[in-house]
Amino acid sequence: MSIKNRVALITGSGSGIGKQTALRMAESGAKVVINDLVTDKVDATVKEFKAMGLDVIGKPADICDKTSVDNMIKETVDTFGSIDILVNNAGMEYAGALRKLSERDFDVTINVNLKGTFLCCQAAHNYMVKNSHGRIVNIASRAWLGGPGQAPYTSAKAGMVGLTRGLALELGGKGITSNCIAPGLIHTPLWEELPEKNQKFLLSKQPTGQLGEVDDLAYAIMFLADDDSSFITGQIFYVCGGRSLFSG
Amino acid sequence: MDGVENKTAVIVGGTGEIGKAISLGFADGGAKVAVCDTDQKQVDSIVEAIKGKGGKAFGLAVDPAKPEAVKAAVSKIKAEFGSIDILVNNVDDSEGFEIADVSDDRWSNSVNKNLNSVLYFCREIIPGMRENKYGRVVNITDIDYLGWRKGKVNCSATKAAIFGLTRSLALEGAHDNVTTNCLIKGETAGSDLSDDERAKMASRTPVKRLGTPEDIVRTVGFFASQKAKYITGQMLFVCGGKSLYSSMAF
Repeated sequence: MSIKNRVALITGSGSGIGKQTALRMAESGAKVVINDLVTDKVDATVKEFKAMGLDVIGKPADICDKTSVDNMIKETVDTFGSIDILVNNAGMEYAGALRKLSERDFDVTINVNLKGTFLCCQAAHNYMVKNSHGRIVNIASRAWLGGPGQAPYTSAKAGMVGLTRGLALELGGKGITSNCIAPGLIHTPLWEELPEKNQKFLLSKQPTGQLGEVDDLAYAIMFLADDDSSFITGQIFYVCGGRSLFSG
Repeated sequence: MDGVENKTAVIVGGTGEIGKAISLGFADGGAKVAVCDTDQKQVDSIVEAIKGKGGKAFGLAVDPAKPEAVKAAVSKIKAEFGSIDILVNNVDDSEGFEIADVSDDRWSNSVNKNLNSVLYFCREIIPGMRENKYGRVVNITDIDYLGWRKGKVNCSATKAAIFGLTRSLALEGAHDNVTTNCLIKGETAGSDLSDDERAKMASRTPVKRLGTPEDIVRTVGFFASQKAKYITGQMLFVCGGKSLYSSMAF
């Protein structure tokens, strides 16, 4: 397996899953671009990784803004010479009963998850096509299958699945693969904030009875981002401890 | 292949073009490999190739469609290597027919090779994996399970059955760290194809090429590794995007 010397941009990598993926990729010899909306998170992550001797740079940017995204991708190529791997990991959710959701809740959720992914793919693919090589990995969610109280998020994540499949067909002949990861329950800071009764309920629905770790996702992302994964495209890869097997 | 060092891997159907590559891939990764297939000479040849490179291998000529033979084979593997950590089911009968031509014998042959062999090996090996609280089962099926090509009645039905079997086994083993996943292979460039056939088939694939045994090996290796411990019950197409042409392929 190899991603050595490949240039990887991971959105939302100032914390959580994105940060761990950035760490594992950089440890494997990739040149990694840390992106987040929050500049302080980018700076802290870059400082931490550079102290470990890893080859990283930081690019704070709002992925919902086309100009910011275009600049971020251009600066990535200016610094590292190419963009080979794009991991669209940045995401957020406004949840609630349909009657309580505002138009803004829907728009923001769609913009960050779906439009942001679209803009990053659009900007990056221009450079990938030139090199006849690219790996796009979109972090969707098992929630794309539908969840009560998750209308905006489900819509956005289902949109990401459609985008992934469409790009796989469009870019497949140009050396670019496009795949989705659909994570299930993962042990992140957000999990720790949940009330205990919610945690117990969610774990009771988990075939493995356990949470996933951020490394479980990082390794799956790296598998799809690898040079040797050129025959896998347009797929939704569930990393969920078997949760996708249950209907209820 | 990494993450399989010192593990015992049983490769059923371990001598064909893809099976051989899987067997050698696990050996290269430092696994102890039990090569199972029907032809003694071919089995011996793979075992010698592994041993020649300093690897550990044990070969068994076994008809995977005979439950007693499978039982005996698994006992011998355990006697040789101890517990079994990884099972790869790679028996493949892809000779398909239209319904009027599916004789009882042809149907039995497909059921025996594509489905029963998986059941028999899983039945003998998975309980031990659950006791050991570790196991990786990888079933290999074919994109023709989608039933999207004429003249494949027997293949589509038996290959599709692996879908349900994989998911059920995943649920059973989930609490015991025994994952079961399925790799769905697309069209691969076997040596039986002419250059013209290859070019035509490649042009109909989104990535414009056919698969190679190596494409299959690395995905099997990932499912079989510690890195995939939170992935179970999944069906992953390794098909160059061809599954995108089917509304049933999610």
